[in-house]
Formats: sequence, structure tokens, C-alpha cells
Amino acid sequence: MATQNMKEPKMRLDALGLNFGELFVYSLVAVLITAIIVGFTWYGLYWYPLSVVEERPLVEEVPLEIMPRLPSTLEEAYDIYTEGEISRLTSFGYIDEEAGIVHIPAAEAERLLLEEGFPTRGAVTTREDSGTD
Amino acid sequence: MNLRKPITLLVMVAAAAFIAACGNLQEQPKLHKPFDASPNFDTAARVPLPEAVAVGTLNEDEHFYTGMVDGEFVETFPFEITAEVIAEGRAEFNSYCTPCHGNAGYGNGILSQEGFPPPASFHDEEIREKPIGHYFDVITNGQNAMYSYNSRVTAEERWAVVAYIRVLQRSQNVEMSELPDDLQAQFD
Repeated sequence: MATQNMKEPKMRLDALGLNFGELFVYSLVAVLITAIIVGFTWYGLYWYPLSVVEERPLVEEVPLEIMPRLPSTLEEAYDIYTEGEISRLTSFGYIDEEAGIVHIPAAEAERLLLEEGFPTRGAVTTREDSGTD
Repeated sequence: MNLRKPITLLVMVAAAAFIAACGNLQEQPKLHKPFDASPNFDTAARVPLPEAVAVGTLNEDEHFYTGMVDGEFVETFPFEITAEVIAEGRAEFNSYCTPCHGNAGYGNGILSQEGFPPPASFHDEEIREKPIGHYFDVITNGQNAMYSYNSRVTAEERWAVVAYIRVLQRSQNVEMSELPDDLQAQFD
């Protein structure tokens, strides 16, 4: 009787109240669930978006129907607009013929103003002198 | 020996201690805004000393940086306007101003034609009579739908833009009798 008691281990694993077989199964299940979550996350956040962008042309992603109104021939409209504006700045013409008010090219206006001299404060300064506190 | 109860008890005590430790962070005194009253100083953020100026931002030249002197808009430029300055002003104007003001300054830029609130024309009599400092102030601080260009365009460039606006105004509104003969001849 005493000999049999001596052969028994002092502390058996099942003495901790834990079933290591079940623990192994639960751990395996947890690892599988984690792997599935990581797999779906990688698929949803990385692989799937990349594959979608590659397959769809960019123009299909722009909701043109809800964009602010723009002329279909924007470039042409802009050229026409700019042409009119540049014409105003490069030609001679009347603004109010009865009053004798005219428009002249901006280059001529610049020349006249430079000849007259722009009004400058007291002592004439250069750009380098100003704003260097 | 059954260790299940001691281990369970130990885990519960550790969890309770961990949760209790987190609560203290929420209860400690906290100042939410920089100028909240502080028991250590007047405010949570230290108030700068009187007349303290950040490095590089003294901007002592009121005329140059505000377009005003003693609260009044200036009638003069702070530095000499040359052809180079006007060329720079034209470049800045065409980049930043034409979308709304238009190339000639009539307030009919391409954005205005697409529904954005149109600005006033530089050639209206009321606008033409504004002092030079007014234009600089509007570019610096914005007005109505126009936002500030203070951080986008330097003070030198803003003055250059004002000079170019004066060129546009002269270009689009000048009395025939003021023109030299060679220009008057263009209208014959």
C-alpha cells in the first residue's frame, strides 16, 4: 500500500482542475477564428478594393450627373471667354463715345502710368528697403 | 490539491485592481482649453509677455503690411513701382484673381459666369476712386465672398497686384483728351 502511494506523482496535471484536451480544442478553434477574421479583413480592406480599382475605369467613379453645372465644351467656352478678355486688354475702343471715354491696351496704360510715376510714400524706397523689419 | 479556486480568486482580484486603476485617470483635474483658469498660473497656457512678438513677424512697417496709416487707407505705394513689379503683379493677378474678376477686371470671371457671386468691377466709378490701401486691405483680409490671400500671396506681391489693378483701371477707363497724340491717332 505504501509502495503504491510512492509511485503516484506528487501533483497531477488534472489536479489543477483543467482539462488540457478541451483547452487544446478551444485554442485550436480560437486560432481558426482569428485566421478567418484576418483573412476576411485582408480580403475586404486590401485585396478587394485593389482589384475593383484595377477593373473599373476612373471615369465611371466620377458622378458627373451630380457635379455642378459645367458646359460640355468647357475648354471651348474658356477660350472664347479669354479671347474676349484679351481683346479688351489689347485694343483701342470707345467705352462712352459721347463722354470721350475710351479703353486702350494695358501695355499702353502701363507705359503712361510709368511715365507719370506711381504715387510712392515720402522717401522713395525700393522693394528691398520695404518690409525688412 | 485543487488550485481552481485560488487561481480564480487571483484573476478576479487582478481584474478588479486593473479596472480600478483606470478610473483615476478620468477623475484627475483637467484643463480643457488653453485659457482656462489655472491654479498654477493665470491660465492653462502661459500668456505671452506684453509686446512679445513671434520671431519674424514684427511687421513694424504699418504702411507696407496693412495698407493703412493711423487707421486711414494710404494713397501711395510703399516702394517704387517699376515695369518688373507690374509684370509680377500681372502674373499674380492672372493666377489668383482672374477666375472671379476676369482678365480685364470687370468682375465677369469664368467662375462668376458659372454661378459664383460676381465681384464688383474695378472699373465702376465707386471702386476706381478707392484709395490704394483699400485694395491691399481687401487682398490681405478678404471681403464678402472673397477670402484672405494673406497666407497665399506675400505683401510685396499684393502691392504688385494693386499696381496692376491700377494699370487695368487706366486701360479700361481713360478720357480721350488725356491721351498723347500717338494714342489719340488710333481712334481716327
